[in-house]
Amino acid sequence: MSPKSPWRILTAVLLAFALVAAACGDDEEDAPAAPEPAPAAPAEEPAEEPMDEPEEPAEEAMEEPAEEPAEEAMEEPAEEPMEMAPLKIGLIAQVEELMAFPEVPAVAQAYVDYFNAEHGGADGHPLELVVCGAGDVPESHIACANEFVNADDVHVVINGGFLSNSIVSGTILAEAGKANLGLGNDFIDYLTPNLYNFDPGLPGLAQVFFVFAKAQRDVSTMSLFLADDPAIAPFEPALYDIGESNGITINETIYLGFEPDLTGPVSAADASNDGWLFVLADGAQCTAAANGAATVGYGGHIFGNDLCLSQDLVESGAVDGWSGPIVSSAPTIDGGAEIDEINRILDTYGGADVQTAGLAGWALAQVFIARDILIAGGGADANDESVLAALSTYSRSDIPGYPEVSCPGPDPWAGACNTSPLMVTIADGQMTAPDGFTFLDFSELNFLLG
Amino acid sequence: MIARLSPAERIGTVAVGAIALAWIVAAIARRDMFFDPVLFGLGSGAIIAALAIGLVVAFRASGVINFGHGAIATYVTYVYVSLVGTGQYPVPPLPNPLAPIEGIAGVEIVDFPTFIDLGDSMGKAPALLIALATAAALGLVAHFAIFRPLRYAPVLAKVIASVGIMLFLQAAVVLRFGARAKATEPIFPNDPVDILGARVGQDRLWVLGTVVVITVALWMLFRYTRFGIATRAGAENERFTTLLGFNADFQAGISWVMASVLAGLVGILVAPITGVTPNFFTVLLISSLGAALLGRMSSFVIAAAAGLMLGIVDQELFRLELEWGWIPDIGIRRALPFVVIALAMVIRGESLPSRGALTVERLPEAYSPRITRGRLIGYGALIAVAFWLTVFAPFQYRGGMQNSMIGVILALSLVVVTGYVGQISLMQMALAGIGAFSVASFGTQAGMPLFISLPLAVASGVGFGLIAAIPSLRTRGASLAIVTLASGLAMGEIFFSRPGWFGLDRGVKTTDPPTLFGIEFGPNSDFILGDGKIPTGGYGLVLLVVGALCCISVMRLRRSRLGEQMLAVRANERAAAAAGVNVAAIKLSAFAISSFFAALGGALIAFNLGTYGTDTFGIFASLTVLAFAYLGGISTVGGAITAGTLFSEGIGIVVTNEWVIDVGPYTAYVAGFFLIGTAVYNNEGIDGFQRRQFHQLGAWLGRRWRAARGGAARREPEGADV
Repeated sequence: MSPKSPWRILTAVLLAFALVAAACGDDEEDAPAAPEPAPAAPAEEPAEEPMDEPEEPAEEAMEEPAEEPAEEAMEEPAEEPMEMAPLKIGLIAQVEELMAFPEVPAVAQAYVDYFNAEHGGADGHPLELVVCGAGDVPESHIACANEFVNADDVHVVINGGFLSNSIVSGTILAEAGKANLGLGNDFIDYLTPNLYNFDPGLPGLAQVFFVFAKAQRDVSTMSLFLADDPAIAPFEPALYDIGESNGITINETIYLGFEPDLTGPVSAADASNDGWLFVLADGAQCTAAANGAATVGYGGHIFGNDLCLSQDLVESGAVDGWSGPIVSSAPTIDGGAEIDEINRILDTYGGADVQTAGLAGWALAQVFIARDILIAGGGADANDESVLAALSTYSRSDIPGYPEVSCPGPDPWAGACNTSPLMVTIADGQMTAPDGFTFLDFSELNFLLG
Repeated sequence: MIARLSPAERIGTVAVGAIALAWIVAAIARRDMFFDPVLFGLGSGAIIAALAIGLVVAFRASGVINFGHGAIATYVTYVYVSLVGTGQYPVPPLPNPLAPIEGIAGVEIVDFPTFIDLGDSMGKAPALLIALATAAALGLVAHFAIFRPLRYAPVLAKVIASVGIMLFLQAAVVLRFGARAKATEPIFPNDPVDILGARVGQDRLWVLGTVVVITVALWMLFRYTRFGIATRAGAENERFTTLLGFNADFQAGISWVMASVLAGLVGILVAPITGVTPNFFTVLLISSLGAALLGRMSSFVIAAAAGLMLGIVDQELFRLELEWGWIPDIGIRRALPFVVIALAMVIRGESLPSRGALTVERLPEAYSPRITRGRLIGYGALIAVAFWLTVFAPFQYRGGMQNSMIGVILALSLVVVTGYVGQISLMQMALAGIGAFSVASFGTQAGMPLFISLPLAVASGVGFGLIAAIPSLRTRGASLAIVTLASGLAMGEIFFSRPGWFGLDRGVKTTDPPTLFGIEFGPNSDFILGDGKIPTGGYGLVLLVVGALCCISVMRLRRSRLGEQMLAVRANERAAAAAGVNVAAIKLSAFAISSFFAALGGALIAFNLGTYGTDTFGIFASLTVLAFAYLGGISTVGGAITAGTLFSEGIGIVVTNEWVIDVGPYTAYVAGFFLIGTAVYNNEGIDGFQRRQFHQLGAWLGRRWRAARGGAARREPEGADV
C-alpha cells in the first residue's frame, strides 16, 4: 500500500465535509451589506436552524416522544409559554439547487416567531416550524412528504414545491389526509381532492392578464409571446377564449425559444397592438424580452408573468413599466399600513435581510392559515382529520397583504382557495399596486376540462 | 479551383451557391422575412460563436472538450454582477478542516466568510478586471489541478472532469448568489440603430464586433506567433514539439487561461442583454458545441462563422414558422443544435482531430470476481442487509433504498455501454424518459396491464436507443459524447415536451401505481410487513428483486463471450475487428442492452413518482447519472451499486443526512468536487478504490498470518531430530 494513500483518503474525506461547511459560511457578517446575495445567504441561516433542530424532534416524535416538549422548551425560552406543547407546522421548502425559494422558510420562521412573541403562539401553545428542505428533484419532495405523513404531531404542511414537485408531494399528503397548503401551479393541483392552494397558479395566470388589461388598461388587441415550454402549452387554448370573453383580441402568438437575444421575435410582433403579453419560463428571458421591447421601441402596455418580478430584475430597472401578477402585496411600496406592519415583523423577527420579494408574501399567509386551522382543528387536541376539515371550509379576508381567501374554491376547482392575484406595475425599480387585486372567475376555465 | 474538387464537393459547392443566390433574391423581395432575421440572428449568433471559440481554444491546447465552459462564464459573470451591484467579492470555497467535527457535533467552531466586502458598488472597469482575473485563476486551476494530471488519461476521464467542473461551479453560483436571474447595467451603448428599416440594439453590434475581433486575434495568434505555432505543433505531435524546446505544459496553461477569460468576458458582455441564471450559459453550450464541432474544434473562423449561422438560421426558421402556418410544430428550432451536431459528426464522417500526444490509455478495470463461496456469503449478507433496509428499517431508509435501487439500474446502463464498450453516452435519462412516458401512455392511458405495458415501455427505450446509437458506428470518444447529448436533447424536445397521447397531459405525466393480478405494489400501497408508514416495503422489495436480477445479468454478461468481445472493442476497435469481432454489432448490442436498463429504470421512476414532468429526464439529469456512475465505478457492477447509494435521496444520502450532516443543498457541489477528484486520481471510482484497499488489506493479513505460521514452523525443528 502506498504510504500516501491513507492520507489521500483522509484528505479527500475532510475536503468533502470542508466544502459543505465552506459553502455554508458565515452569512451574518456579510449579509447587511449584500442585498444581492441576501436572498440566499440570510435564508440559509434561519432555514438551517429550524431544519437542524426540528428534524430531530420530528424523528424523536416517532422514537422518543416524551423527551420532545422538554427539549424544545429549553431551546426557545424567551418566546413562548414553556409549559404548553408546541403546535407544529410542517414546511416543504424548495431551497436547494436551481429553483430555490429561500425566502419561504425565512419568512415563515419570522412569522412563527412573531406569533409566539406577540400572540402567545396559537391558542396558548407555541408554534414550531418543522422545515424539510427539498431541491429540484421530485424524490426530495417525496421524502419530505413522507416525513410529514409519518409524523404524528404535524397536522398541517405548507407545501412550497414548485410545478410538478408540488403535485408529487401534494398528492402524497392529500391521500394521507394531511392538511396541505399548496403552491399550486398546474391544473391538476386544483382538481385533486384534498389539495388546497393559496396561489392562483397557471390557471389564474391564464385569466388575470386579460381581466386586468381590459379593466385597468383598456386593452383591446394583444400580441402574445409564449415561451416554448411544456408547462405553459396546456393553457394556450384558454388564453384566446378568455381574451375574447374579456373583449381582447389576441391577433398573433409568437413562440419564444431559448435564443439569448429576443429582439428578432419581438420585432416580428405587431407594435400597433394595445398590449404585449409575455408568458416566459425563465428569469433570463425576461431581461432579454425587456431589452427586445426597448430596442423596437414598443409604446403600448407590457405584461409579464411572475418570473419577471424577482427582486433583482425589478431593482435592475430592466422591467420598468411592466405589469405582472404576484400573490401578495407584501413587496409593494404603496400598500400602506398593512405593508408597514409586514416589514416591521420581518425586520424584528427575520432580520434586515429577509425580503418580501418572490414567494415571501405567500409564505407569511400560509403561516396565518396554518395557525388558524390548527386552532380551529382543536389546538393541542387537533388531529389530521379535524385540521383538514377546518381547511376545507376555511375563509378569511384580513390576512396581511392578501386578498380574501376561502376553501373550497369554485366547483370543480376545489383547490383554488385564492383566485385573486395582485397585478403590480414596476416603476423606477420598485413594485407598485395602484389597481389592487384582480378578482377572477375560475369557472371560465371549465371548458378546458373537456 | 472547382476542377480540383471531388464530385461530391462540387455538388455541395453548387448547392450552397444556389441557396445563397436564392436567399439574396428572397431577401430583396421580402426583406422582413429573409434579411431582417439575419440582423436579429447575429446577436444570438455572436454569443454562440464566442462560446464556441472558447471551446476551440481549450481543445487545441489540451484536447479537452470542456463541458464546464458555460459554468465558468456563469460564475465569472455573477462575480462581476456582485461587484458592480454591491461591491462584494465571493470567497471561493476553501476547506475547513474542522468541518467534520462541526457537522457531527452540530456546533460551529469556525466562522467562514462567504463574501469579502470591497466597499460600495464598484465601477464597471475595475469590476471587469477583477472578474476576468477570477476567470484567469479558474483557468489556471483547471489546467494545473485537473487537466494536466489528465493529459494521458482516457477521453472519458476528461469528459467526466469537465462535467465535474460544470456541476461544481453551477452549484457554487447557487450557493453564493441564489438561483434567481440577475440583470446588470449595459456595458456597451444600447440605443437602437436602424439598419434598412430594422431596429437593432447597438450593443448587439458591439458584441458582434468584439467576437469578430477576438476571432481574428486568435487566428493570428495561432497562425503567426511562436506560441501559436508551437501550440499547433504540439497538437500534431507533442513529443516532437517538446524535443524542439517548446513547453507543452506552458502552452496548455496559457490556453486554459485564455479560454476561461474569454468565457468570462462573453458572459459579462452579454449579461446586460440576456440576463443570467445559474445554468444559462450551460444550456447555451449545446449550440456552441455544434458550432465548434463544425469547425472540427480547430478552426476559430469556422467555429465563429458556424455560431453566427446558427443564430441566423434559428431566426430564419422562427420567421418562416411565423409566416407559414403550414410548417408543422415539431420543435425544429429546439432540435436545431442536434441537427447541426449530427451534420458535423455523422455526415462529414470525421471524428475530432486527435492530439499527437503521448498517451497511455489507463482504462478502468472491468473487474469480474470469481464466484467463490466466500463471495457468495458476502453477496448473501449484502442482500440480507438490503432486504432489512428495504422492508423493516425506518421509513426514510426505505425511501432511500427505493431511490438507490433505481439508481443502480440506471448506473448499470452506463456500466454496459461505457464501462464495458467504452462508448460515452450522455442520453441515459432521455432513454429513461422514453420508458417512463411509455409506461404511462401504454399502462395508465391505454389501460394495458402491467405485463404488457412494461415490456412495451422497455422495448420503446431499446428502439430509440438503437436509433440514437447509429452515430456510434462512425464516431467515438468526446464526439460520441456530444452526439448522444444532442440526441437526448432531441428526444426531450420532440417527445416529452409536446402535449398529446405520448407527451404531457396539462403539463405533467401521470402513472398509476403498478398492479399485477389485482395486487397493487406502489410505494404507498399497503404491505403486510414493516411499520405501516410510507413508503411501504412492497415496492422496495420489487425494486430489490429487479435490481438484484439486473446486477446478476450484467455480471453474467461480463463473463460471457459477448462481454469479452465488448472489452476487446473497448481496448482497441481495430485489433478487435482484426480478430474477427463485429465491432458494429457489438456497439449496437451494448446500446440496446444499455437502453434496456435505462428504460426499465425510467419506468420504475414513473411508478415511484406517480406524477412527473420533463425535467426529471433532461440533459442535466443525464449528466448527473453519468457523474454518479463514474463516481461509483463505471466499469463494475459493484460500482453501479455504489453509485446507486449516492443517487438523489439514495440510501447513502439519507444515512449521511441522518447521522453526519445535511448535505441536501451541497450535494451537487460536493459531487462535482469528488467527480473531479475521481477523474484525476482514481478512474475506477469508489468501488475500485475499495476493492484495491480490500485486496491490500487481505494481502497484508495473509503475510502476517504466513509470517506467524513460518515463525512457528521454524521453532518446531529445534526439538526435532534433523
